Amino acid sequence: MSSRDRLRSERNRFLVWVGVAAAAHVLLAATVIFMQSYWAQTHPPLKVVSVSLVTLPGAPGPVGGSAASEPSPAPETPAPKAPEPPAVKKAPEPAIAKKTVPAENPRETKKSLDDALAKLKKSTESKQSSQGISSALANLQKKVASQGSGPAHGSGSGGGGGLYGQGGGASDPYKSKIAGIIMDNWTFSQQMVRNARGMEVYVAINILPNGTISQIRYDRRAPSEYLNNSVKTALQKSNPLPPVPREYGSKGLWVGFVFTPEGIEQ
Amino acid sequence: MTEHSGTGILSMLTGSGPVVLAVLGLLLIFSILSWAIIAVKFGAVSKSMKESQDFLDSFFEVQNVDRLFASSENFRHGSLPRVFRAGYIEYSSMRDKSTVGKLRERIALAVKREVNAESKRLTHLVPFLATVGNTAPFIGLFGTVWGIMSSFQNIGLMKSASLAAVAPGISEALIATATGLVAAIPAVMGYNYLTQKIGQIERDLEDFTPDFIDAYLNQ
Repeated sequence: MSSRDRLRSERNRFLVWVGVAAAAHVLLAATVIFMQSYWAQTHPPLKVVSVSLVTLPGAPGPVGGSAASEPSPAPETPAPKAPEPPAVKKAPEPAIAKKTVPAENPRETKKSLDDALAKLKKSTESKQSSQGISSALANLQKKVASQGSGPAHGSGSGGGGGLYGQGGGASDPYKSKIAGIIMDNWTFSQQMVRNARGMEVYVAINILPNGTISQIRYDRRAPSEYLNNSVKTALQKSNPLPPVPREYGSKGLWVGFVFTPEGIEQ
Repeated sequence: MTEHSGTGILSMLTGSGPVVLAVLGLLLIFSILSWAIIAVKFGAVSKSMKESQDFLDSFFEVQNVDRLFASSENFRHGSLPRVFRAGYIEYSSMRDKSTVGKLRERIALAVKREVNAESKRLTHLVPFLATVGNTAPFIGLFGTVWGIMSSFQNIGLMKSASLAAVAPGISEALIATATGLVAAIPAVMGYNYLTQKIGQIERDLEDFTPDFIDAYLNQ
């Protein structure tokens, strides 16, 4: 066999192997794509269940110690609003109207600030008075629940039905406990969300009797994927949760949470 | 715990831009050629080593070079039998025409020429593996940079730094990097293996050529 024939046979062998390698690559790619679609078929996306979001006024209070801290955001939110106007107004004042009313404006703003604070006080007082009503309504909810309203997944009549807002935060120690655990594992920076208003994630989790989270269902996603993912991460970190008390039955428990930039509601 | 994700390789590919697709195509070609070279060279080197070993066994058993030449016809893919045959052809053509010193010189020259040819034949296409191993991650990195550029463009266009704006570009970037690594890792492994084996064959050739020359002349 001459060296030219040998080279030719080597080249042919190489071309054959190129074909084999190309076929192997195609096969591998097809296998990966098939496996992905198979995985998607065997693990279909969970059905989104529309949950009635109608709640009793003031009933779904924050859970796990956040009850005391709930009123604090109320005064906090208007507080930045009140000092904002002077900060904004002060800047243009020297540029536009230096000589018009130099001394009156700060006084006026002080007056308006005082008025706003007075209004705020009034509104908080009225809220506190309405808490008495809300506690009465919570008691009513308890009574309804004790009369055997069925599992949490059932269609609730009126405001207390569904997964969210049922039972109240302080009334259920187990739910308060798991909400506290999830809250501890939830890392969320409000700076990452442009507009915090309307940012709510409604998540229902199915907890097995041993405390393992078997299913996570997003009933409503927030426009921010960051918030959605932070919720998922918090739930994954919290898994497994403490075992479900026997009083909830042996089939596991569905619990709904509402994640907002302000915290978790149950 | 189950959670559904709606992303897949196919959807990522269809969502990729032309630059990323070109990068992926180039890396795919590199990968195919690398695997073909690895397969061809692995077969050639393995066969050469095995036949060389068998020939050496018969070389130490049979002292007659004419019979050795006849038996070397059975080892056509081995490097040592090839070198032996080249030396024998030179020896048989010159043995009645020149002195021992001159004959030794001619045989040594013929053997050296065949050793070089064998070395060239064995290392043919192997440097391509080194090229793929060195450049494929950088080509993948180019796809990464391009994907990140497009993700930044999305941030600017959508006026949002949300994951929805950033994630597609990042996933494009990551798939390019992953493909680069998938092409580079087997190429580097194959290159290291083949260079080690070819070096071993070359050392064997250097070691045994003096023995071959002595065997011809002692005949």
